[in-house]
Amino acid sequence: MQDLLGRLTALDPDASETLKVVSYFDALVARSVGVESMLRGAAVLSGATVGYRDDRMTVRVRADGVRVDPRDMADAWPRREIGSGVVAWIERDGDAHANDAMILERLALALGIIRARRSVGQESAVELAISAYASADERAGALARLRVTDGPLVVVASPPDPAPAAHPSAIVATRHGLTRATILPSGLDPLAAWAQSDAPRLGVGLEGVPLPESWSSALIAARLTSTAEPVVAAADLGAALIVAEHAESGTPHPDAAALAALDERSLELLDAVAGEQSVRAAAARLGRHHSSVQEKLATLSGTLGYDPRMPRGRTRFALARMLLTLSGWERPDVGGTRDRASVEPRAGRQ
Amino acid sequence: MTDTIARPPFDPEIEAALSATGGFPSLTLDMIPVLRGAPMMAGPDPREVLAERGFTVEDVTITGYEDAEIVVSVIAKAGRTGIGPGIFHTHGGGMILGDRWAGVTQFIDWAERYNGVIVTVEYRLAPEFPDPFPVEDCYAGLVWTAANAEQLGIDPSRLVIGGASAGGGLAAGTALLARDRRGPALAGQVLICPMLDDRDLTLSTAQIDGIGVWDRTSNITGWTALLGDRRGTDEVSIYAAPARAADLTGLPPAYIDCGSAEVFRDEDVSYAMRLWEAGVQAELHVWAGGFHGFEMFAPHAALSQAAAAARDSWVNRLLGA
Repeated sequence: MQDLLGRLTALDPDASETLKVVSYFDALVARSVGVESMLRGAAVLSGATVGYRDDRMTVRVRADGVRVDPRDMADAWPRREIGSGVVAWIERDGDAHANDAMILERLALALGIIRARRSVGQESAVELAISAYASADERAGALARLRVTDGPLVVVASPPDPAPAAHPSAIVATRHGLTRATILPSGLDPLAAWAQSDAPRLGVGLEGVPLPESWSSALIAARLTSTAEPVVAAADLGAALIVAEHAESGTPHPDAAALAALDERSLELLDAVAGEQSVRAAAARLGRHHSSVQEKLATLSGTLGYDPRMPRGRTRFALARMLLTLSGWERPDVGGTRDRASVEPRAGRQ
Repeated sequence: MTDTIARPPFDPEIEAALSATGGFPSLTLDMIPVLRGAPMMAGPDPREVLAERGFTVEDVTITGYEDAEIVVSVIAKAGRTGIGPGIFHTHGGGMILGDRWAGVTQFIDWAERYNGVIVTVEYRLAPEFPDPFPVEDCYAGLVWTAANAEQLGIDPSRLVIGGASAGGGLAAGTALLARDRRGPALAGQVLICPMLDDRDLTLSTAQIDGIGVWDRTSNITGWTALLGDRRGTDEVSIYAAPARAADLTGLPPAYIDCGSAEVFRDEDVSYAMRLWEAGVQAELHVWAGGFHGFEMFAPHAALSQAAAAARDSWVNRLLGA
């Protein structure tokens, strides 16, 4: 069969062959055609069978545009790598034709673009669906690609591993390190999304809000999880969530900074007092005498500028303590009673 | 207005082929002499293809309209014996271009498969020979073919007429003439993206204006060459513009195809619907994103392969058995 290039040249002898090849592939790229159409273009332009192999498949198209059985390439044929393990070739036996190299180059370029476009898979669709920078249309399109139900959704934040069994999920780089985002239907028990044996700590985002908001609240909730409380729902934080969200962007609040400046034992003592509601119970938990706890508490109240036993002071301490946890200032694995949420940065923060 | 009208997009593969050629111009009457000097369709010479496939060609001079001499070519496999179907071919070219070889290779598979004979007619072209010259020359060729069926080895009960574009319109018009004059019986009519309507009133003609292949301007040029001042008036016969035929009863089974993005779409779809209304068997295929003549333009494209396969299937059902 006479190659298309020859026929096109007969129609329009003035335009260069390079231009025709380029415009042919440009038109295919503009319309995002599939691999087979790309190969067909190269096959008819070159007048030879053209092949393609990636990690999934081998495709060959004959010079008349008909797809033929897969067969591996011969060493002698001109070929071009498109990516790792991905290659296209022209099944030219004997001398290469003048335009083979150019056709192969344009084919490889076009296939590379198409492959990049199509590799927008589940992971990036999840990322797009929860991104505050994506438009509502983009997010809706991403959700459609994920084929999630129309009902209300919630985003759950968890450590990168393990992944949930069935739900759309992706590892997302956040300013607090790599975190897994999972989109679940509202009302589903978030723990049920993971196999029972390896459910990680979960921060459950708000329901009934756009997904980017659900995601940002889930990130806060996840950082507040602990061994004692492995699942934290943002909705349970109440108005504290507003404080937490606000603190995300600003400089550290002085109350949090004051707690950060304390030694481990002091913080332990304050936690015990806040948790036990009385100095006596706190002293029992700490295994210390209650009068020494009382004494220490008086000193600490002076340092902090408020008494965590008083109603306002209790609220102040609780918020400051939350902000301290969120800030990630605490040193890991000290003391053992306070366990950092495992979603907190593993590598350095940005 | 025409700038903003919505239309179906072209199929990507055929669009790529079109863009690689720099597009297809809108034809005007003054361009006809130049166009006749150039090949209408890029591709191998049909006569070479026929020779390669082992077909022989015999040119016969016959009597055309008003007793003028015209030529038909009889095409059959070398050394053919016995009888088989006859395929009477009316070529395309907008009534103004092309010769009897244009598009004839679309039919050689069938001739080969069924031991058939192709007769292709060199009808005279507009504007030098306006209506009714083209369709009457075609009819004369059909009458000659039927009259010589025995000698040509054609089974008279399996005589099919077919053509593309203007050739599709001429095939439909010739079939109407054969019905109304009680002429040769036809077993089928293959109307490939046929040009049927001179009136320029459809939505599809408005959609394909200045784009694609054989756009509105080109179409008006073709019809004006054929009909002159009569174009769009009540003076146009149903044989020139079969879309005008009010009565389609008694016509042979029809195969009609076209692209969704061509001027002829609406007139072709409408013709199929009215054939059904008239109780005539018809099969219609509208190929998504096809511009006019996409199969000849980009035979490699998936769309073209599908269109050829569908037509092949119909002919197999008609002639196979």
